[in-house]
Amino acid sequence: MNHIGEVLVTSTTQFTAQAVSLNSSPAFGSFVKTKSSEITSFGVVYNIYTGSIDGNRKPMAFGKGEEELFKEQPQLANLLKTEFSVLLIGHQKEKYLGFLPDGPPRIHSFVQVCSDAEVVEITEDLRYLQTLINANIGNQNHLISSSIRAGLKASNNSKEFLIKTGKYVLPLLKYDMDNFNNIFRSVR
Amino acid sequence: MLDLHKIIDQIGSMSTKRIEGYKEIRKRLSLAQKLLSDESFSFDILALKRERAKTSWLVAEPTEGFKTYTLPRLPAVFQVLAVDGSQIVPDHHEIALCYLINIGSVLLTYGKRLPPVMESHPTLFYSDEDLYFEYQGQKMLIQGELFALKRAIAEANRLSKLVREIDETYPAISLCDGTLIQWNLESRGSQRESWKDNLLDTFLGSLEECRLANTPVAGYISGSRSTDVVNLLRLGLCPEFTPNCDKCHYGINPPCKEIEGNTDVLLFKNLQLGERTSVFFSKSKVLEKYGEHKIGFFYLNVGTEIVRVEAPAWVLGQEKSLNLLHSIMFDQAQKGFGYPVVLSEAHELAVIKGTDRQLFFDILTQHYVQKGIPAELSSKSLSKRRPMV
Repeated sequence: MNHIGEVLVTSTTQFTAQAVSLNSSPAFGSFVKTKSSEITSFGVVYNIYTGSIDGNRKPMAFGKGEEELFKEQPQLANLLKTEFSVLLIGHQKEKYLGFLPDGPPRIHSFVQVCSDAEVVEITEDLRYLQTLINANIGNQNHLISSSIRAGLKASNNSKEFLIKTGKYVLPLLKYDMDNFNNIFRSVR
Repeated sequence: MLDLHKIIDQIGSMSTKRIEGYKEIRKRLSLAQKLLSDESFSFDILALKRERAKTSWLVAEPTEGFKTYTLPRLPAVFQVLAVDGSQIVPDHHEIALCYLINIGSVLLTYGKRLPPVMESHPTLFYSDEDLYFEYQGQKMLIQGELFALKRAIAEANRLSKLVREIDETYPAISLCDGTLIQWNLESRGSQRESWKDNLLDTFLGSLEECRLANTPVAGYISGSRSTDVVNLLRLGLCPEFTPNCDKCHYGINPPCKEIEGNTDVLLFKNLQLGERTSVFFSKSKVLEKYGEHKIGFFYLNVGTEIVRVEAPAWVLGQEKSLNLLHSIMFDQAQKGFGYPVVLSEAHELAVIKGTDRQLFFDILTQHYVQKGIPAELSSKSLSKRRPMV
């Protein structure tokens, strides 16, 4: 499978990758993987950023539509980049394990989108939801909804998947129904 | 350490002196501009006088009377290629004697969504042939103007490689930053001559590659201070039919002095937006060796300034390539807000920042240490890095 990004910053709990081309990041809340030696690490995309490739050069407003702008300033395609950040949720040596690997993915390793079969395996484990709920990021509820939506799609909109996920999430939210409804309203 | 307090008075005197000179030049400028449209100022006589004249200054060779040309239409799809170079110069005080030339190149396609090609190609030079030349029996380190030449050649080489890769379906031009006239190859009578001839041959070979690839090549000169055309007008003002500056009998205030001090850019400052002047050829001595690549130029109003655009005769002699050059140069400057986009991007790719230079020498040191090669920084270099109090 073709890669969609390359790891640029990596740590035990998360990594940031540069998308192969501009504006071509995997979706927010989607499941991705990266293989370093024997271990494949899995994660959820929690942030997408597009900006200048050079810290000293700021993008400026040209006052033109995207199509026209890229025709007139074709170099911009090489001066801008899209990056995405991923929360690590589990790894795989022989089978999927819903906890963090011993070490972070290697820098410059390639990132790929998970197949539906892999997403089904990850979401059956459910522990990824705990990682997302405990993560210290600003848009948790949206991220949880989006990742459940990705899982639901991979499970062919299985009702059982939704019930099982809901039952797992509610105690993690300390039975906060407002929060729970907030998350699941965006899933459907 | 520079004590700015001690220099402020000198800066004051300098600016006062400059403003006086500037006012004087302004007075002379209006006369020079009048001459451009003076019908009694016959082109034929001017051209003949130029041929016969003996001057110490460079005088432009006109191809026609003083005309201006409006902006031609841009092709719907076209490509622009540019190269620029940067360097780490050889330094006796560093860990090893070597130098690095980094060439940035950019190929952009307009009117069709094709990916830009933006690359940089650094090359390290460390052999004796690259570092030294023989001068009066002595081994001399390549520095100054010879180093600048070496870089210009590296740029031209890269350009000639890239023009071969351009898709011939669309019209294209290739651009260099600065002049195409390698005037510093002019000086004669030294043992460096064969070395210089080799450099010139390589440079001309690159221009030939562009010609074979049917891609006009040009040099873009921002902030030009050339006076070739002003000098031509000065000849016009000379009452002699065969001006000979060495035997001038008009004393310290010859008639040609009336417009002296002006630059061509000032002379043509009334060009309308997008307009260019007619084509002139440079009479630099080095161009005698250029053959059909003899360099000519025109001035162009790109909005933010009047720029000088230089190109070989095979480009300027054909209406099609001349118009292509005119329209693309203007368009590039508009897209780059005053300076061609391709050139500024090529520069960005070529530039070697202070931190990169430091990193380069750090890596070099690391390799020397790993391989057990004795390498020492000079005391001067060490003292600069760790100044004492």
